[in-house]
Amino acid sequence: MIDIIYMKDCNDGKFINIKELEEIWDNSYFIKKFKNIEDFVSNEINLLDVNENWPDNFIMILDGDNIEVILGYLQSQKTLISYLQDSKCRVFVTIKEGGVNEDGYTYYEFEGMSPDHEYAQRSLDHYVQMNKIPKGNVVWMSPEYLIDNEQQKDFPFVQKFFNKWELQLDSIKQEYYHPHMLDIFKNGKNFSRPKHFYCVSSSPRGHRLDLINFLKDNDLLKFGNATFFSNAHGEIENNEFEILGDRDLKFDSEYYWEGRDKTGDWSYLPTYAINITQCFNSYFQLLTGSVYETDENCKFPFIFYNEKLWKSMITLQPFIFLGQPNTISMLKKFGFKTFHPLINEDYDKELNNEKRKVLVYDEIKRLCSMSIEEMDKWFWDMEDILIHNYNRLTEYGYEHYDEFISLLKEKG
Amino acid sequence: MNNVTFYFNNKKLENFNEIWTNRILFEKIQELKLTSPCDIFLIRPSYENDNPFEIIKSMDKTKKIILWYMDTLSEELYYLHKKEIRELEHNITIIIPDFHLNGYDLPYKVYNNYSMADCILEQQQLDRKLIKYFNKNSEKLYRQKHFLSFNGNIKPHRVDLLSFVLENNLLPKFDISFNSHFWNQAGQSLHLDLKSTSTYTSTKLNLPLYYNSYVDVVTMASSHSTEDFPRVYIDEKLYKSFACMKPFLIIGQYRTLETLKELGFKTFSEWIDESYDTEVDYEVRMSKIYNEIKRISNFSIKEMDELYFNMKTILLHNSSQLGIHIHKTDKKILGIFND
Repeated sequence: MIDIIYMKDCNDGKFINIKELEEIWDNSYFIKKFKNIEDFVSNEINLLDVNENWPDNFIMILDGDNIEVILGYLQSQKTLISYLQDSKCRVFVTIKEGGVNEDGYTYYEFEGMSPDHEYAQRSLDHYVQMNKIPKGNVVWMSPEYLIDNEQQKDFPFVQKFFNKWELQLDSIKQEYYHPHMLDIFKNGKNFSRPKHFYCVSSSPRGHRLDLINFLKDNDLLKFGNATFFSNAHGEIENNEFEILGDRDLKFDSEYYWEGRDKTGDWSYLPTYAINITQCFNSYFQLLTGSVYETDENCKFPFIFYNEKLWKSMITLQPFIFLGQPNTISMLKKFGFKTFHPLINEDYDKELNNEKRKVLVYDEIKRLCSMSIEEMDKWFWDMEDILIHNYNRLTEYGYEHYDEFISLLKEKG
Repeated sequence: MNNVTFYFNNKKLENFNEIWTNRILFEKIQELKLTSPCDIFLIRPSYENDNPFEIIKSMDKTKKIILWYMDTLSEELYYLHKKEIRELEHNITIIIPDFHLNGYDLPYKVYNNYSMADCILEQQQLDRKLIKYFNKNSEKLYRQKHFLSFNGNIKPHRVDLLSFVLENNLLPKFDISFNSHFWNQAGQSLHLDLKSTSTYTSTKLNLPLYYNSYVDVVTMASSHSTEDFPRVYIDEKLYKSFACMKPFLIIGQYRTLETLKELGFKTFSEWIDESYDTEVDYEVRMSKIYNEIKRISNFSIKEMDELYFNMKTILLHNSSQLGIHIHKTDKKILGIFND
């Protein structure tokens, strides 16, 4: 058995101690529908009361969304610091959604800034170094994939890629979409599809604005089903951006921030919802990452995988990705297949932000210039790849959880 | 030996591989143990030379003969065939998919069959899990279009519909095909889902397309019918709307809705002005339908969604009535062989 103190940030800046196993299932570390992690939780985890005596060799998991809250908690726990210093426990920390909506899309923790910098004083680096905690005792679970693993040797803590959006979407797939998507896909061989592409970009970001302008300027919107800035997340006022396309999701936004909808069905929520009619009425997806701009000289280049890539795999569609470079090549590293040469994926290697955009736009233009007959043939030439990725999604989820379980079982 | 012989193109039929409708019923007939011989002539009225009468005349007059029409008969052809049938001295039964609302004026008993309803039912059963899935999914998503209309072959009432849609700038409200059976030919086409290379797909259900809109505008095979000779022919397009749980407006022969109700289906008069159905004059009938299309197209997608879900009970009824209708029809036709 592994002793775990599980602390969850309830979005009010305070952590509560989770004592019931059923309550650790959410959208962060422990996501249901994967038998390996379900069995592990049922059979090998012993949840501890934070207020009772701590044994040696336990793990504290901090499940939070705000690095300041996490650091504030860590710094306030003097006994925990001494346990960490003595290697009597390990701490796992995460920010569920990564740094996408924080600090201009990058982690200052990764930037290797001067220790005197204001941000550095409030960083995980600073906490670990100041308290002289052995490296292996603090594990940062990040939904950002650091491209250059060599760089991680400079961190005073262990950084592990935790592909939570993939796990979350595959969990949704297993619960709501499998095997129906495969059946619809196979039935679709009898028909052509009316549109070339499908594109959903609910939250306004610079590269998405550029994409709309490109589609409008080149009269390409008619080739797709597209929804931009539908304000699904309630992040912006409607009148700040032109909303393009119809709102297609029926959900009550007042419940959204509480992470549920009135039916209790997660698949209704905008981040997880998949408009299967629009997907199966179009051939490929135009995906926009949450992050686009990349600093060619960045010391810690990373990739943030949001939910969109995984959604296109669930609906068995190829995609063009307007986002960070190397996203496609890393996917291949994870065992997925991509679409070169049927889609020219040279854009993936281009570090220059403007040049990358041009390469993506050229490919969109080329695909939209194809007739529906040509597109249909092009699409079905990728059948094996699409089915591979659909299946790989679940395999990868299991592998990811195997790694997580091994990590939990390691000694500090 | 069950004593039944099927003829198709005036030749004995070895199997039903080429038969696109009523196949399941034919197989049931083949399984019957008949004491006396029966010859069934399958007739395709659209094939000019598909005329069985010369052969029948040369046959033993004591034989039971069934003339089984596989498709709709035009008024002209019906009169021609009626003349031929009247001259026969055999034990004749006629099976025809056209409902002649003033009777058939024939000296023999006439039964109605269906055109491709069985194929759609078969597909509905094959796709039942997916249909259920799309129904459930519809509760989460707004659909993109108000209307769906398939118009693969050019016919006058289909040309009229498309002209109306274009003139009134309603194209964005529609998923609509036109002339799409004919690829690579001169002239305008609107393609929705038919592949140029695929085999016949009329019996398949394109569920993503059906569930992308709220109301089907079903353009039937014919819009021609008169007060003196009122006829209704129902084909697979309407059965697909039943299978995919869609409400519909019918651009076809007058009294089609009345016939559907007699067959046990329900229509949408609570929400749609269906007075077009009683209007014999084509122009007036079309004008009433256009008014409804215009009125409904002014609804927001949210209003369309509410309208659709208000009709749910009827849609569910029609979906299950399809099987009941076929079962009842089959039972009546199989009864012929008990006589």
